[in-house]
Amino acid sequence: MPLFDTLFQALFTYRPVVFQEGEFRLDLSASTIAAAVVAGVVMTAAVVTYRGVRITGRLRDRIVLTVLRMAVVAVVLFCLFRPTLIVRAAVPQQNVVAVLLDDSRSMQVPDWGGQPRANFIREQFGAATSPVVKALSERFLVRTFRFSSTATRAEAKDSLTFNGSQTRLAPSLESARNELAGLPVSGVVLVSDGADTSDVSLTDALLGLKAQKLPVFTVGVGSAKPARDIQIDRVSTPKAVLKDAALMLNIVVTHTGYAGKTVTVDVEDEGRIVGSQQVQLPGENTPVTVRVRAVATDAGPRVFKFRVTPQPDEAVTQNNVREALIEVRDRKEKILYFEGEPRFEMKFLRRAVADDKNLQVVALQRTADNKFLRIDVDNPDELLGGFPKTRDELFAYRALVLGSVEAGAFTGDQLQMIADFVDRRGGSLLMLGGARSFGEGGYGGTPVADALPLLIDPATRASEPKGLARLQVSPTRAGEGHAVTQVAGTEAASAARWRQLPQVTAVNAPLPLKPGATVLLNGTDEGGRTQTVLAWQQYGRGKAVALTLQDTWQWQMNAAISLEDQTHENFWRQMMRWLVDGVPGVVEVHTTERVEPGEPVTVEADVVDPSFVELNDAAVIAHVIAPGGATVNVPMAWTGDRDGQYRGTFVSTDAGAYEVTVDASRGGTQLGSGTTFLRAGPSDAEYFDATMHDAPLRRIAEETGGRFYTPDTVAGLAEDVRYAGRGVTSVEERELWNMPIVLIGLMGLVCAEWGYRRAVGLA
Amino acid sequence: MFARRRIALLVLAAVAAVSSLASAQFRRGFGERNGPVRMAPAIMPDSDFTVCRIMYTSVRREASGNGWRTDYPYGEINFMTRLSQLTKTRISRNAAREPQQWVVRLTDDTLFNCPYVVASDVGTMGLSDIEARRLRLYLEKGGFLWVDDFWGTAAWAQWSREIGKALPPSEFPIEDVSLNDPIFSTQVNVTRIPQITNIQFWRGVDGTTTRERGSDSPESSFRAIRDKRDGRIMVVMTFNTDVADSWEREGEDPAYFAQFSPDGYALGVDVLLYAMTH
Repeated sequence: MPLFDTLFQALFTYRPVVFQEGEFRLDLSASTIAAAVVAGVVMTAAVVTYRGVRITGRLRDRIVLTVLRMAVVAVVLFCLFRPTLIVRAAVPQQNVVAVLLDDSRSMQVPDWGGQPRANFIREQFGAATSPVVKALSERFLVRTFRFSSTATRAEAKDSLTFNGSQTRLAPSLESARNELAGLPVSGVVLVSDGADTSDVSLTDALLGLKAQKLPVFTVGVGSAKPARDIQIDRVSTPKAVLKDAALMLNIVVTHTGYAGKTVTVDVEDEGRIVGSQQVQLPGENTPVTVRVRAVATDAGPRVFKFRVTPQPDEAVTQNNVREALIEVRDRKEKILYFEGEPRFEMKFLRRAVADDKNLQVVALQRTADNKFLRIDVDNPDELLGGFPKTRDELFAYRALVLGSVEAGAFTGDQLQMIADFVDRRGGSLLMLGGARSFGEGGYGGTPVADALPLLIDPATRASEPKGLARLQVSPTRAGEGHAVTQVAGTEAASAARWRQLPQVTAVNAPLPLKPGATVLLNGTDEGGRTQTVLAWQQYGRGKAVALTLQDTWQWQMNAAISLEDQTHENFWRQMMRWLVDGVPGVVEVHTTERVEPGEPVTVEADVVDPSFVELNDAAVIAHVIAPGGATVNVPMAWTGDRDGQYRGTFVSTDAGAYEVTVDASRGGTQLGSGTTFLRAGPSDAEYFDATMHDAPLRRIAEETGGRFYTPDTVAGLAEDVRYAGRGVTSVEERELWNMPIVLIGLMGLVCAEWGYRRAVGLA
Repeated sequence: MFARRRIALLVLAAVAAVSSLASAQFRRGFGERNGPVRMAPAIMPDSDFTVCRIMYTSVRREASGNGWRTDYPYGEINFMTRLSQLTKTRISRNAAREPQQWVVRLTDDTLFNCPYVVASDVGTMGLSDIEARRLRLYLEKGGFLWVDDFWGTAAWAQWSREIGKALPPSEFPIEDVSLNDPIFSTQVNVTRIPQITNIQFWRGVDGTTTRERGSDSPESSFRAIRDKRDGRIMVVMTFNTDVADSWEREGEDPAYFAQFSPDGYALGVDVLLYAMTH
């Protein structure tokens, strides 16, 4: 028992809860009133006497002595009134107390005086003779539950394994409350580290407890101050990528106690290290973002692990690793590249991505008026009439590259269609620099200009370029860490490589950046003037990119570039892959990345027609392939919440990877399909942010009328539950006049008066 | 197909007729051929299309050949002019709006500023080791070479030996290109490889034959070397024909123009568009 509680009980006889819960009363009988009258007379006489004393004449002394004397009389008078606390105490052995013990993995964290938190539970709650259990059992019928994802009765104390993969406070409290329905319950004791790993709000569970006036007494186990530890705090990964994609992964590392230490962050693809980066840890509790470049070379659902090498004296090493499921797609993504004039940029761009088996760049080159050269089309009819004239035709591509082609080459509807391609279809648009691009191409005031990240004055009319800028290109801060502009293994090497690349040219007048756009590359001309070279912005569902250069082929052909140099190829591959990355298909499937085995899985799919209009009357079915190979067909129904959104549910019976393919059809015509993956398996979330979280525990206690304890204060728990006033109770009176504090107060006042008199010479 | 080709030829003829008075087409002569050589600058004045001609050393002589200068400069000047008329290609022009063409040595770094180079009379070409290495590097990086105007067995032997120094035939075999190849349909459907003679020969025989070397040049050939990486054609050889003369001399005689230039330009445009896309 801590010093405060011991001292309080020594002075006031009772525990604080008695004062909190009790009702204060005084005995107002005739005899006590008479005594009060007498006391009033005595006090009046005392005042009069002091007023009459004129020996010293010091008013202050008279006032002090009067007050002290009055106080003595007041205390005596208080005692005469027989002050009493009326409390409702639980009738022994007539009430139930539920004890919920946290059985999750985080209880293995050794921060309870250097021992695992679980040891506290074993020591204080582990057996009938354990102190807290014994104290509770003397007063109540104790029902013990263990909980992680839900609460279940702990029939035997050794049923605690401390291996639960989740801590779900709200569902556990709900489960316990339901179990106790109909019983006289004095309270619930919740013993946990408070590290809730669920996303279930506590509010609903607390409403139920409050409605039943069921107090929850929470015991926070563990240290709120983190021990020496390094943790992979979070990782940003795409849900799906193309095979051989170069991923720029942002890994946030936090630590306690390792400031200044250099650690290595590794990225593993199914056990094989595919990326690595060293980082010096910053000051205490300051997260650091580590950018690691990795390549996803193997197709299929891949579990990527992000790992910091454990330190010898770390408290928790399990949080040095995080996992993410990434679907590595081995399929061809179609990109339409429309070039308005024969120029070498098309040749070298096509050549740069020719080896990429996951990209299909369909080239449409206007060679002369109304004459088009088509390359890499899928069938003889594709683009036969030039640039697509319908949305169905254009929206079949995932990205659109516009070369040096003027706005006048399109009809008004085609220009709107291009903007819709980005805004509504979610495709990517890249406009390249050239004599017929941007402002010089007459795009001012068109829907395409709305989409672009650079601002073209609507009053601008198509014109011949007025100059030519020779630019040395360099990445911006955003560009240094962007997947497109990483042209070497590390950020530093990439930035250095950019500075070594030969000059390239731009003929378009520099344009201001739109608010919200991000610049990845800048170019500096021979006069030292800087202009935007590569910028992008989100436009509706898609992204619009501007690359103002007209001859990036120089990065391939220039004499300073060796044959083996892959800068040009890498830049364009990364650019094209970025353009198609995340671009939705006709059927887009969403589900949670991981569930506990046995948990239900909700699958949602967005379904559109070929022109990307949401469909609410499609026939949608999910084919689920379980880890063992069994297939389950899950019908999906329109949710009614949003156009084109369908939902279905299945139960993950086995642990492992599930493949979910959703097929959509309408009127017997297949619209398309989409696939996603998820894992059923235990979560490792318990080891992250593994300090004791007292805030939710305090909230539960405060809102339900309970109290929060630490291992140091838990000894008084049983007594506090007794006076909580819930369940079958009896009314008890607790006299206060005989509290030691009263006698001490009285003695103190008398001594004070005597001492004061001595001091001023009146004794 | 024939209808399309006929239309294309008519277009070419019309363009030629309209522009036949253009001074650029007639400012030529022996003196100008030997005029100052426009060596490519270290930095190109713009990024528009230009033709660079390879300056090489002749190690033997061919009848009516002029070594690297053969068909220079009006072969490329006229071709660039027509290209800008027949296609959307923006060509490099000087301040006077005249087409700018350049000369490069294989040992010059400026070679790599020209993704498209030509060479004539290559039956006389001799390549040093360094030139051969540079040529291979240029081609493997993505460059495109069109050699033209070499006739007969001896010229072929010389050329094939020299190009073999850069691109060994074991790795880079020379092939006859089928007329079904995409290179013959980038804008105009080319259905035959025209045998084009130089205008002096044509005048000398009064247009009765196009075999400049008689039985040693029975027909023209379109041969190529492909990039082993992606199969693109990177070297085009128009053998036993002088395509560039149909450009260079197009304005000198309407009969010569009518007989050769439409086919020559059709082939030239197709090859150029291929080079700019593949």
